[in-house]
Formats: sequence, C-alpha cells, structure tokens
Amino acid sequence: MTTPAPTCWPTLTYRDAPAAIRFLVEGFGFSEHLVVPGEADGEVVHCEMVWPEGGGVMLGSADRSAGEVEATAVGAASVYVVTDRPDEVHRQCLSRGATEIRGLRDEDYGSRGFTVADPEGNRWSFGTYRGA
Amino acid sequence: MDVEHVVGLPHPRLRPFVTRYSGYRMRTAPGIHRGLPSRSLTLVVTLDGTVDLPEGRFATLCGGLHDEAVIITHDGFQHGVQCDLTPLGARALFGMPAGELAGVSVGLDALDAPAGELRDRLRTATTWLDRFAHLDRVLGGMLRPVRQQVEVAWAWHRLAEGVGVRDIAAEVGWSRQHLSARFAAEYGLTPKLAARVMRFERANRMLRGQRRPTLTEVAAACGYTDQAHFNRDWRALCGATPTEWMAAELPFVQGSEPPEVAR
Repeated sequence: MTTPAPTCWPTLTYRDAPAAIRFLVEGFGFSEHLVVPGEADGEVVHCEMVWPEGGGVMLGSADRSAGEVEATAVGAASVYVVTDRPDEVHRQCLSRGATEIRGLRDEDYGSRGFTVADPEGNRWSFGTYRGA
Repeated sequence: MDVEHVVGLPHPRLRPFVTRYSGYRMRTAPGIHRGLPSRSLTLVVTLDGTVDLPEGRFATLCGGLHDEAVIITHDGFQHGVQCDLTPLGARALFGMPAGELAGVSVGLDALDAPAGELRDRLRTATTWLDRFAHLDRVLGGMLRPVRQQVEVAWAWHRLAEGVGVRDIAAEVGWSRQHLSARFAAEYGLTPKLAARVMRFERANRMLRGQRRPTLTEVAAACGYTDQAHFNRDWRALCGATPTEWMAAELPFVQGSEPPEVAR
C-alpha cells in the first residue's frame, strides 16, 4: 500500500460483521488491514478496512462477548468515500446487492458520485469531490 | 509495488499454540526475502505459487526455530498466509517437540497435516477474515493434548523476560549443563542462542515499528554492549547489517506492519 496511513477513522457497528467485511471487500473494493476476532463465533472485536485510494473505516460486531462500551446503533452510519472511479464502484456494489439511494450523477459543484445502503442499512456515498 | 498485508488473531483456544495469522499478497520486483530468526515457528500456506527455499519448493510448510536467515527467492508475486506457532504449537499440532524441526522447513503433508484441504479452503475463501476462520477450524481440529517438562517451559518463559541462563538454572534447581541439554532437545536451540534470537527479534520489531528509533537507541534499549556488538550479532543472525536489511526489506514492512493489537 503506497497511500499514507489514515489518521481519522469513521467507525461502524454491524450485526453480522464477517458478512459486512465480505461486502466491503467484494461490493466496494475495500481491503482488510487488520482483523481481531472475538471469543464467540463470527464475532469481530475490531477490524480496520482500508480504501485503496486512501483512508479507511473501522468496524466491529454489535454484540460483544467481553464487556465493552456500548457500540453505536446498527445501520445508523453515513460515510463519504472519495474515489476517481465512481462508475466502476457503482457497477460493482449494485452487482453485489447494495441498495441504491441516489443514482450516479454529476453534481453542480463538480463532483460525480452516488449513494447506496449496505446490507445493514448504513449509507455510503462515493464521489470524486475531495473536499474544499 | 502493490502490497497487501493483513494481520488477524487466532481463535482464543488456539492462542497458546498459534499467536498470529498474517495474510499477504505482494507484487514487487523479483528478488529475495529473508525469513528472520524469531521465537516462533512459521507455518505457511501459499494461495498462489510456492515458497522457494534452497532445500526445495513448498506449497505449504512448517519451518522450525533457526539462528540464521532463511533465504526465500521469489518471482515478484507472493500470496499466502503465515501462521506464527509457539514451540508448544509444534507438539499440539504435529505431536513433536519444536526441536525436531529446528533449522529445517518441512512440507505440511510430511507432518501428517491436512495440507491439501487447508490450501483448498483458503484458496476458495474471498476475504482474509474467512481464511482466518478456516485456519481456526482446521488447526483447531488438529490439536492434541500436550505435555511439556515444566522446567523447560519455565526456562523459555523466563528467557523471554530477559533473565540470564545462570539465574534460570538456579530457579529450576538444575545444573546449567542439564538445563541446556533439556532445553535444546525441546526447542532445537540452546538457551544462550534462544536468548540471542529473542533479543534480535526485539530489535527487529523496534526497527519495523511506526516510529523507527535510531540504531543506537535500538542497541541500547535491547541490551547490546555497543553498536559494534549490535551490528555483529545482527549480521550473524540476519546475514546482513541492520542498514543493509532496512534498505532491502523495509520498503515492504514500513506502513504495512499493522500496530500490535492489545487485548
């Protein structure tokens, strides 16, 4: 990986974290960077997923067998991801079962992108806008 | 250069035997990679190609403890999972003391492990998390009851804490000669050599860390008498000076060595 390590991470909570990881890999094109499984089958205490164009998200299971601080609500997250390949990511994630919220389009502020929901309802926007 | 390196923790019940999973998929220029001495045995399952060592090409293998770098030649594409085994893991997974594997690498099929099944499962999985879960299942199914002499296990534990061989011999009530002989039979390295390897591993970890200290700082922190001692010891165990090693290999590990996970 040649992009700098992310220093600011959105964190998400999933009921079925292994399925979420699979979706983020196959549907969006994230890569797993670090995975810490928990005591129970299918439990993920901590996972770092990196975006090939830079940055990343962290995620974990909603139900933790070890005492942990209360996780954020499942399906409540909204994440914006910068990409120079919005058409490609759009095709890929719809083919893997993402729900389209707002179709691929050119914005008047110069961005091209779209918004989908992942299988647990979190919203993911992808676009070429890199921030002002 | 395209490098993917994912670290995962084995299932808790495996952790006395397997400390870490490390998945890798690297496209680089063809070259060599040095497998450095450490306190872990190395189990590798390739997903593509083979691990090419002087003694042969392996699709799956387990390498014992060693006191010289293992030179791996590659064509630029390396893809597989490495599992770090504790010495006790050799007994639990293969029913033999780590000492029987010291200094050599052996195909997993020759160790009576389900090598083909393991490789097929890992190649079919699409995420590293799924691959680690398959490893949990297959390795978990291989576990057998282990018994190890308590004095020998204690000596390993204390060496890792940096205690000297003379003091450890006194603690277990054995002569130094007897301790050395029993220890070497179990692990394949004498206590003195094992301590050197453990110190080398500490120094190596410091150099791979996110904030890399200077060589002088590493030498001092790890208890080398001076820079010359550090260089000499490193050259013996690694086959290159720290500076040569960093130039050749740190482009891989820098930024791809994830932080240690606290639990």
